Amino acid sequence: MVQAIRLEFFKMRGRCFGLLLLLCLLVQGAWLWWTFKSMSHLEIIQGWQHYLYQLPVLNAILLPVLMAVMASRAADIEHKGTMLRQLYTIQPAGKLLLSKLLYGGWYLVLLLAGQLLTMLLIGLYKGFYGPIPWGYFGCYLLFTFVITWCIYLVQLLLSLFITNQLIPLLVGAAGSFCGLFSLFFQQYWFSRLILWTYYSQLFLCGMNWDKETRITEMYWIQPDWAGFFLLTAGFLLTIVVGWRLLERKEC
Amino acid sequence: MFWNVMEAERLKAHNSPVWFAFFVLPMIPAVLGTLNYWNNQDLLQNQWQDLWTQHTLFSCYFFLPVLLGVYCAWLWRLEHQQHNWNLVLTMPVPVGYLYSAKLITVAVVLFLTQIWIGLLFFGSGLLCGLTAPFPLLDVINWLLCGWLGGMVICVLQLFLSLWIRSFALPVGIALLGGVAGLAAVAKGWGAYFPYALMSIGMRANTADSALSCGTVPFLFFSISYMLLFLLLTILYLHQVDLAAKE
Repeated sequence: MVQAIRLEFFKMRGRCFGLLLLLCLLVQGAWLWWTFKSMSHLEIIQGWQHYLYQLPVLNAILLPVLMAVMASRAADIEHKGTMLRQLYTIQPAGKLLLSKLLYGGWYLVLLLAGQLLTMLLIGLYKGFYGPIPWGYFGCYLLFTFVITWCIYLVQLLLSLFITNQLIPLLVGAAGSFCGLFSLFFQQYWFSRLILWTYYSQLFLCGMNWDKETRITEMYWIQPDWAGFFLLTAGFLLTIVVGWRLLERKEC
Repeated sequence: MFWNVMEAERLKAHNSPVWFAFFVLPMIPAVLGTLNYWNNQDLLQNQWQDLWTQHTLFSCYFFLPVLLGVYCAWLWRLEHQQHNWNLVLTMPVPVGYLYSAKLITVAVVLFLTQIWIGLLFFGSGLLCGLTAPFPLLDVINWLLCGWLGGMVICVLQLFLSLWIRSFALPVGIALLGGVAGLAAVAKGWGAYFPYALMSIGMRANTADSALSCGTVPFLFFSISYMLLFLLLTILYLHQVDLAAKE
């Protein structure tokens, strides 16, 4: 397995995974910096909560398409020259899926580490009030990792099954739409059935906006562990089903 | 000869999944934007104008650039596959014809997309029971300016998709460009940024008759950017050995 993962890193040299994630991080960092540049006193007091409200929204917009792009790049190399047919003679399909999944997961860890660093740098520079809420940050990182990895898995399976990469990318774009607009519909039960809506389902912060005074007040939300375990179960089920289907697929 | 190339592009478009994107993707912001307008009617008093911003605000910054990126990447996809550039370059067809056919195809698809967005907007307004008269001339103006701004993204994405031999990477760049476009518009630099011109043209922020950056700068930068990326593509097609890049 270690050899298979090393092989993935070797195959993906020069495919700009790191650059793409760095660009994403830069866009997110610039966005946060611009948003937090002129904060009121009340906003600085609730600075950490503002972070954990805004970042999932940004993730819901950017990460589904980015995961579709990454998965497509990871799978497309096998489609070129119909390499899968040869590859499956020496490497089981499941092993290939797992190694590509772990490869994507590694870059996701780097992205989230970058996000955490950006949050801490801007927060400490702006002098956000109170101690750093490490517990909530930990939950945010865990939830975001599992949601995004799950999206990557779905996109990877689509990209491996469908040679024409147009379709997986369209699914990614449609997922971004659903993720963004789910902020308006997160209270309805059916949004639990749509993977991309989990960025808003697992919010750790809420916002009260007073129409009269136009004052925004943030508040903490207890982590939705039931939603998280439902998502994790869906993730594991998708791996098993995807593995089986990939092994049966004719190249 | 040119019509044969156009016919080839039409054949490639026939039965392509890109039509699924054409129909379905604009429907998502239309449906969700309408629901959001419906839920906030006490705040949104300007009927058609407010419904328009609900439809276009997010789609112009985040999703239409991606959709156009997908259109353009799809147009070069077949040429990039396997050793097709060898075949294309040995045919008695100037590469200029090939590029022009693709540019016209994407211009037509974008035009049809704009009409589809307009029809969805009109249908949503009827469903919401808006009583104000439909601002037909304004909507035509917004859609045409959006088409012009969208063509800038198309010319740029056609160049990127020709240069970068990957289907997915130019789409990712389009997404990041769209988000950066939002920041550019917020800072008042929208007219100088190619990915922001479509949202300015569509009046995604405020549904006014006037363009936020002024008509002359909008037209000047739209045409200038189109010419610039057109020139880059022509230079690339003539200077680089496309077959050897495989």
